Order: sequence, then C-alpha cells, then structure tokens
Amino acid sequence: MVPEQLSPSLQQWSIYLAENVIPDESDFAPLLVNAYIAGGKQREALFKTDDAPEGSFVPGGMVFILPHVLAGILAAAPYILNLVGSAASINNTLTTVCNILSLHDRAKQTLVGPKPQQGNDPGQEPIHSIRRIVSIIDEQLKNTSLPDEERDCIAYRIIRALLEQPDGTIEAIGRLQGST
Amino acid sequence: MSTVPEGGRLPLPPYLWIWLIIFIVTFPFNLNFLQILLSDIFSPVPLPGEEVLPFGFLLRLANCVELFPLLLIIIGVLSLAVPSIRQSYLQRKYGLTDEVQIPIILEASTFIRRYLPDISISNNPLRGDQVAFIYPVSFQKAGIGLMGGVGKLWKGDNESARGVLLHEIAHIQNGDTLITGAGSGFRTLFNYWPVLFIVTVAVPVFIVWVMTSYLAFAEISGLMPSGEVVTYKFEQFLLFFLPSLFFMLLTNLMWVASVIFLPLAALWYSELAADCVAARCQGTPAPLARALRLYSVPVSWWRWFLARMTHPPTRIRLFMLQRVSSPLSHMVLLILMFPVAMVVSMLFTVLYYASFDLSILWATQTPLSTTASIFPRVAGITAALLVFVGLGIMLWPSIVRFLDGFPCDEGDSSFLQWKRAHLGGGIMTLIMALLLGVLFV
Repeated sequence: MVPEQLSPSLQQWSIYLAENVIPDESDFAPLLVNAYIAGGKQREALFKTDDAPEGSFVPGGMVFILPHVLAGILAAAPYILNLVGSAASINNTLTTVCNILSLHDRAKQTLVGPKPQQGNDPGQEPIHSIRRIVSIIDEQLKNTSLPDEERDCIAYRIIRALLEQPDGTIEAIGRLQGST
Repeated sequence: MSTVPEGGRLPLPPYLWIWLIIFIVTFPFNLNFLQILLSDIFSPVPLPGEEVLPFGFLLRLANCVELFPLLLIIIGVLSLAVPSIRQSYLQRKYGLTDEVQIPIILEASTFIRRYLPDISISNNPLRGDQVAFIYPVSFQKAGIGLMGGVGKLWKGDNESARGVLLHEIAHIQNGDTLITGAGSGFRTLFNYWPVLFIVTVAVPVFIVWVMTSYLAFAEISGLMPSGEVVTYKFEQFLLFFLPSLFFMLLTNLMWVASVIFLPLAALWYSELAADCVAARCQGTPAPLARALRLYSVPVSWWRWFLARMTHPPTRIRLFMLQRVSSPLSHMVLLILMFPVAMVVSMLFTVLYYASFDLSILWATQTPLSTTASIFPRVAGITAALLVFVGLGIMLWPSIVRFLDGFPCDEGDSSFLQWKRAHLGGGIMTLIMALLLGVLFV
C-alpha cells in the first residue's frame, strides 16, 4: 500500500533517490519518506534502535539509511536549493558530480571529501554548495553503520540524484521543511 | 497444520519446555526462599544483630536485591499463562500492524505460509532496526513480526532473508513461541540491578558503617591519639568495609547467576537449534552466516552484554553453524548444552552459599557451614533432574515419532545420526548424573 499523503511525483522522486543511493531500500522509499514528512512518532520510529525481543533472529538490526539521507537533505536544504535553482547550474554541477563519481568508481579508492569551509555563502559558486552538502550529509550518515569510504561516495550520489530530479527535489524539500 | 521443513524434520529436544518443567518442579524451593526474603523485609520484630547496630534496620533492604531476579522470573513464567499479554506488548512496542502491505512483505509472507499456513503475520516495515521475531497469539496459534530489516535483506540478499525466516519458522516448530517470554525480564534485571544493589545494599551498609564508626570514634577518641584513631578507622574501611561489600556483591551476583543461568542457557540453545534447522533446510549455513555477520555491528560493551540476555554471541552461532556439515557431533554438542548448563547452574548456587558464608565470616568472624550442608542437597537435586533430562533426551526420538508420526526410513543416514546423537547425549547426561550422585551426595 502506497501512502496516500505522498503525491505521485514525490513517490517517484523517493524511489528514484533510493534506487540511486541505497537500492536495498527502494521498495520502502515512499513509506519512509511519508513517515519522515509526517513527523512526530512516525519519524521517531525511523531512527529507533530498540533491543529485539526474545525469539528474534538477532538482538538488534540496523536502522534504515534513507531517513538519515532525508535528515541530511533537510539540513543542507539551502545549498541544495541553490544548486537546483537554475538549469545552467544543474548541468554544470551534474557534470562535476558525475566526474567525481566516475573517479570513485574507476579508482575504487577512497576520495578524500572536500573539507567544509566556514562562512560560505550559499550564493557563491556551486562547488562551495557541493562541499557544504557533502559535509552535512556525511555528518548525518555518521549515525549509520556505513563505512567511512562509502559515506563520501553516497553523498555525491545523493547530489546527483537530487539534481537529476530538480522538480521533485524542490517539492520534497518544501514538504520536508514544512514537516515537524 | 504445519509442514515441517525437509531439512529440519528431525527436531532437537525442546529444552525451553524442559526448563519450564524443572522450574515448576523446583518452585517450592524458590517459594520458600521468597517467603524468607519477604518475612525478613517485613518482620515486625528486630532481626538478629539489628538492634546492636545504629540504623541496623536499613540492612533489611539488602533482601530486595535478591528478591528482584526471583520476582522477575516468576512474573515471566506467570505471563506465559496469558499469551495475548505478550502479543499486545510486542505489537505496541514495535508498532506491528497488518495494514501496510508492500510487495516485499507479501513475498516474505508467502514464503512463510508455505511452511506454516495458519500463521498470523504482522509487520512494521518502518522499523529497520528490527529483523523478524515470533510471538504467541494464543496457545494454539503463533505469530511472526516482519520488520523493515528483513524486508531490506529480502531485496539485498534473498537467500539470507529466507534463512532468517526459516530460523523463525524453526522457533515456532520447536515450540519456543509460548515459552520465550519467560526470559523477557532478564534485560530489565541487568538494566536496574546495579542501581538496586547500590541503593539497597551499598548505601545502607555504608550508612550503618559510618554511624557505627562515629559512635566507636566517640568512645575511643579519649583513649588513643587522634592520628591513630584516623589510621585505625582507615584500616577498618580498607580491611573490613570494602571486603564486606565485595563479598556482598559476589553473593548477589552468584544469586542472580543461579536464578537466570539455566533459562538463559535454554534461550541460547533455542537460538542455536533454530539456526541449525534453518541451515539444514537451506543445505548450507552460508546464507545464515552472512546474515549474522551483517547484523554483527560494533556496540558498547554494556549493550553487547544486555544482548546476551536473549541471544548467544555471534561467534558461538557462527562456530556452531560451521559444524552443521558434521551432523552427529553438531547435534551432540547442542544436546549436551542444557545438561552442562544444569551443572554450571548448580555450581552457581553452591558459590552463592559459599560467598554468603565468607561474607558472614568476614563481618562477624562467625564460621558458618551452610555450604557444606547445602552442597549434597543441591547436588542430589541436580543429579535427579539430570536423570530426568537424560531419559528425556534418550526418549526424544520416540516421542517425536509418536507425536508427529512422520514416516522415517530406518536406513536413512541422517535419521540414524539423529537417533545416535540422542542416545549418546542421553547416556552422557546420565553419566553426569551418576558422577554427581556418587561423588557429592
């Protein structure tokens, strides 16, 4: 059952994001995004790490990564909106991000993530926005079980997915910012 | 009606049920102990030695810390009489529902219903921190909670997810569903035990010691130079107060161990037995081992310890899974786990009395012989229970054939190994009983 509260475009956006970032969670993406936007206890449940009861397979599992991605997107919203603001900016940034990701894939080695810079204005060049987004998302993903070298790569994949679906990204950020 | 998975059609002894029988049989001893503890706490007349110590009545509180594990396990066992309590509790705690139906959950449900057509399945795909677990719906019906974790695994590593579900199915077919709830208080016990020990044992003992020291200080201050008095009291603190507290801690820890060790061993065994059935059904332990490694994430040592109140360490589970390919030795190892735990549990009981004797000896210089008098009795009871368990193990293959009536090919090697493992395990248990009886009773 797909949640009714989520518009078709947002459902599509959530699946696209998950498929490109965490494919294992793509089937749950509309549910997870809906619960995150709903806020309150529904959102809290996404981040819970309770002990499992007797008779479970293991004493505890691992939380979903997508809610942490959403938290990262929400925290980096000004920088993301800055990137998706114009078609020219999207194209340039996409080229940059795709180049970085192809380096990742080809070299199969850890790429040292750009260091966050203090006092950056979101209105500056796209590269500053990318740096800030990567830094914010990376910080958020530290709460998951993802290894360090994967976090960096995932942050760039998130940016690529967001830029490839700019309308959905703007709508999603609007809904995320409106949620509590 | 349930269909037994092909690879798991030869079940191992249901030690959770055997523990429950043992608990009920030995309940009069626990009840007697409970009465002693309660009468000590609420006694209207001063207890021996209480009047001579300032604030001596505070020492009564120490009984609470011994009462706590006993009460938790009694409540756990009593709750088994109403399975719907556990169902409601788990549904509320983990937000289980049957309203959300996404394809992955439906696929997993279809897989489960191939083995258990009448099972009640509920889910909460939003909780990725949980994988899957069983719960009782009624005395006849079991339920499985499918959580986000297993859904994610279903997509990422389908074979592992099937292994996880077969593990849960094995739990249900082994009859664990109705009993696992008896151990639900173990994590609560260790979450609150340290605080309870400090509040009901350490603080009262410290208050009594300080007050006693204060009065003694007033008496001897005129007889000794003040420097010597301080040194004397410091020595008293180091050589009397701290060791006394240590012995009290030891006594209480041994008590907790003697109360929970056997049911804990039965819980661990139920997990290992379910792993064994799942691995045999799949024909290989690899998918289950992958799932175990996936969920084996680093946690704090305290969280790791609390997790051991429900599940054995991943290393032990992987060790046992590696031996699935040698069915005879693997089964004998599993079968002997509970009888050995019975002997260890007996040793914890003896150590409890020994540390109690030591603490009294240290505090009052009065030698007690509780351990010497209790040991033959405890050993005798354990030996008798081991005879019961040993015979149960030996008869288990016949009981299974009588209850399930599955057709067995007497020449089938896996069937022969299963029978031999039970015969061997039963004989070894009886030898343990004999040794205990001959040497200590």
